[in-house]
Amino acid sequence: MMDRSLEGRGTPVGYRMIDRLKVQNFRCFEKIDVHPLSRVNVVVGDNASGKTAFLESIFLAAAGSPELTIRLRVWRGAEALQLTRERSSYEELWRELFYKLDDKRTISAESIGSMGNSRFIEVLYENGQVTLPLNGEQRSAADSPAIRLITFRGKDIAGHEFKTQPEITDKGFVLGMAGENVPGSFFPSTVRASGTETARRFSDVSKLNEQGPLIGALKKQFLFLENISVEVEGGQGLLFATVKGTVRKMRLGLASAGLERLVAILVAIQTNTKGFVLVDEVDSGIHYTKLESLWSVLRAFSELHQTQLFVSTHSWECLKALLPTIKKHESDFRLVHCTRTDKGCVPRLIAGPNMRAAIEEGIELR
Amino acid sequence: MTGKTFTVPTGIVGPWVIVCEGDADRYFFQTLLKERAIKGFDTPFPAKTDQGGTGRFPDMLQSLERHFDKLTGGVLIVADSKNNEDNIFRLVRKKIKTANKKGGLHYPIPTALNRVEPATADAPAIAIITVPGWGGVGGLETLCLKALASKSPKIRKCVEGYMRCSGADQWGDHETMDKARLQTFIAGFHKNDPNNALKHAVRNGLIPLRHRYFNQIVRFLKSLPRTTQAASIEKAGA
Repeated sequence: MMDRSLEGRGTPVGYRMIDRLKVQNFRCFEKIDVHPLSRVNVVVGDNASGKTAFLESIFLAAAGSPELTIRLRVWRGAEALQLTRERSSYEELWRELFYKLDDKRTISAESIGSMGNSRFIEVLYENGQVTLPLNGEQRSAADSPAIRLITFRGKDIAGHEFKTQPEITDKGFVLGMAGENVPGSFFPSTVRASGTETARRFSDVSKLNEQGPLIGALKKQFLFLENISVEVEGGQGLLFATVKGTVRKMRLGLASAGLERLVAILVAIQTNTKGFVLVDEVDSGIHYTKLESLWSVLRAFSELHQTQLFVSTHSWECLKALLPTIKKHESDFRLVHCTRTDKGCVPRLIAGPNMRAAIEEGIELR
Repeated sequence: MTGKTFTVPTGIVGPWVIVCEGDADRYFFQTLLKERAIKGFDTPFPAKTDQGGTGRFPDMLQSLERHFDKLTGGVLIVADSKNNEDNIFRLVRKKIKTANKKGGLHYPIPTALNRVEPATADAPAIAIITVPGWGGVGGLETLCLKALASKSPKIRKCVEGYMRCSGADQWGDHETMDKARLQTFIAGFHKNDPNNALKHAVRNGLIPLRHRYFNQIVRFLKSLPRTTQAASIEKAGA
């Protein structure tokens, strides 16, 4: 739903990769149109109100591809793929993307940036399908040897049209490309960030000798921490921590799971310039005494590296800890409040100044 | 953050929410609503117990945006009448405009006291009343003092004597003088803590909330429509 009341109010500051998000028939969203988004967008709402789906819809709009949708499936707790050359197996793979699991609909997602740059994607079964003849005994209509191929098509951020149809071939699953993406990272609440991916990103930052502010910010919060470096273990580059009072460096996750996640998030912000970072349950693994500085460093990094943030939380303690930061930077924030209605989930935007007032006045925001 | 704040946020149920100046007002309305069996009003303000006054009205109004869908009745703003309720009315209107400007909101701006200004497309209805209101001067203390004094006229005489002796009866500001009278009055009822505030006097039943002096407010509260999307009412409490 487009929120008319936000028109012209407390204008968000700075560059925003995604100023407006339009989505149809994706997950629990029948049709939504939200803007203006801000630099740091805090997503709240009851269970099953569409918080995670909202984050996913941003990912779909700005970086959607067949490969991405399979990752979303895994992050949502689906078992490892057991792909067979059956139509039902193939269609099952994509069905949960569709609103009400109705794959006769067309999913569409569009992200429009503050500089006018946008990306658009549709996911659908086209009429006059390309079919993939397969061998095998037909047991039912759903197991027909002719598989309908799903189509991912749209326009990438360079303005180029793309179209791809994931296929199952003798050589395996061929997913295809979906044009040029907006750089982005997603941190689901239930999946631990990849240690090698974080180490690779940290290494990129370190090569530019730009790791100082990151380590400095972390040392302020984690007093036991002296340094972070990339070391090779078992042939893989991983992040290690130098911990006060300990001679030997230890794997970052061994020192603190919360620290490991925060490093992954901050490094992602630093390396996704002009892109976005999505964090489901941002306070997960973080002690309450660190929440104030967590918000402060997230906002500061987001501004410094021009990376837009979308973070969800269930915690009042976490929102309350935002107060010192939001008081200084009201325009940098938006609350995205999700609710479930008879017509699907609906995200509604609350401007930063009103978000700040509600926290200060002790009024429920979640 | 200064002052005591709630560690658990206050949810809004609606259909009405009362925005009032101070802690005593909040306790007064909470207790009055319970005592007179009036339902449908939330009283979440002020959250900060050491801060009151009309200065916080913009923040209070802004903080409600997340709950606009539940406020199918509206927002009732209650302010002390002080020496001139029309001046207070104008002041509160300014506070609503400030909330609209700072928060990008579209609260309707009331055109008269004791009247519901219908909801806009983006914001709930609003009504402003003052206490004692309906032409009276002073504040909440004025009403409470009258009700209490009618129960204990002898003590009222003594309090007036003290006001004369101390010179407080010459202060000129009705609200402040009635605050002094009431504080003097209730001090004698609180052996363990003569500093006890009005909110405690309300909560422990010292103020007779069924007294006729409160009927005008009660009538107004009861007259407020549960849905105001396309309706306004004419001076319901008058």
